[in-house]
Amino acid sequence: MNTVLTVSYLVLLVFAFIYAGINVYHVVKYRSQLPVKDAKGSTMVIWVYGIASLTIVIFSAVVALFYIYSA
Amino acid sequence: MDPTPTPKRRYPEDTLFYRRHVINLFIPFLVAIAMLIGAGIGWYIVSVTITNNIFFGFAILFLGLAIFVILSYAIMEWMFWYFDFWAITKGKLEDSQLISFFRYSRSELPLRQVQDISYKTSGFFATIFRLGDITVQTASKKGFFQLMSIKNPKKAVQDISRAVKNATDDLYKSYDSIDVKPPVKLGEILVGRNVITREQLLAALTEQHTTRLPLGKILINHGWISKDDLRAALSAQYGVPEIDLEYAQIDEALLSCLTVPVVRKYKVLPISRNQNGVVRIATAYLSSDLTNEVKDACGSPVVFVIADEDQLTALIEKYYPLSS
Repeated sequence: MNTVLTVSYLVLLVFAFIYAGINVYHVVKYRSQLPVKDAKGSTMVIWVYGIASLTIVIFSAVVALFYIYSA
Repeated sequence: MDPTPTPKRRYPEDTLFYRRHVINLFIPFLVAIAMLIGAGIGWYIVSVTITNNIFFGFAILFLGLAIFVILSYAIMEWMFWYFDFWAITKGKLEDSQLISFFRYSRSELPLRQVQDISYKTSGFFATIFRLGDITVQTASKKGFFQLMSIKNPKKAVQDISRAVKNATDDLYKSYDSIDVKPPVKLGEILVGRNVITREQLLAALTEQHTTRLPLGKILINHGWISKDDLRAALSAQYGVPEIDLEYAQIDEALLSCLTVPVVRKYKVLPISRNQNGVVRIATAYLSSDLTNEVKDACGSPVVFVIADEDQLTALIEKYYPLSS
């Protein structure tokens, strides 16, 4: 059961990162079409998004691992 | 990631930028919040029903994943909104849009092709937030541009209209240099070219005093000059090109550019349009009234060319019959 859950989580995580990567790719690719001020704004949004996403994923993984290994 | 990307497109400082109002993100963000609440409730139900720490740990893992995906969804919605904008620079309107993943569209329209700008406000949110959809009707193949959910559309329409006016005025300036008050008299040109003698000119002017006919017509009636001489002299007098309508190809699509009353009042005929959209108008004489009224009626930049009056009259009868 644990293996099934772990593999499911990892597969979904890969898909989620692909989805996030596509978002970042579009912003980075097309930000040069924007006025300079907006382009800087979009870059900042992507930084915040990246940091927040990684924080959520890492934090949830750390807490989850704590529960799993303390069982 | 470079925090200050080099813009491929450098917009002038006075560029007008329009983007759909941020309220358009309300529904997608509401959906994201609803999904977050759903994920939270789901996690809570799972966490209270299970006692095993391992499954509780997996529940937290999947909750983190769900929040990540929901955040990505919100960013995606923001991205499609943020990369859909309109820029009005000096002389052109640019429409940039990230339509979907891997599908970006960008089109440009010269402002001089804009024919009409209007807006409409409809719907609850649009009324509350004073939003409107602006339609820019154009003479291009695309037909029209739409600027959706624009804040304060009335002011935006005024600003765009001003930009269109500036663009067309810039274009007109180069054609407004036609001096309709000729610095040299027709008779002097003909004498200077040795087409007529000074005595013939004086005789024609005396006759003109009583008959009130145009000088050129009197000279032709006497057989002292040909129609080609007159056309060449008028062309030199006004500083505009001449045209032999016998060999000219009339672009019939342009005929609607002028109405029958204007054509018949001033004896003018639209001939063709060049690649810059400038319409060539044939006329036998030039005057301030004629140039101003034809420019206003045509709605496009125009240039005038001098043509033979009889040929012009025949073509006007053909293309602009009184019955139409």
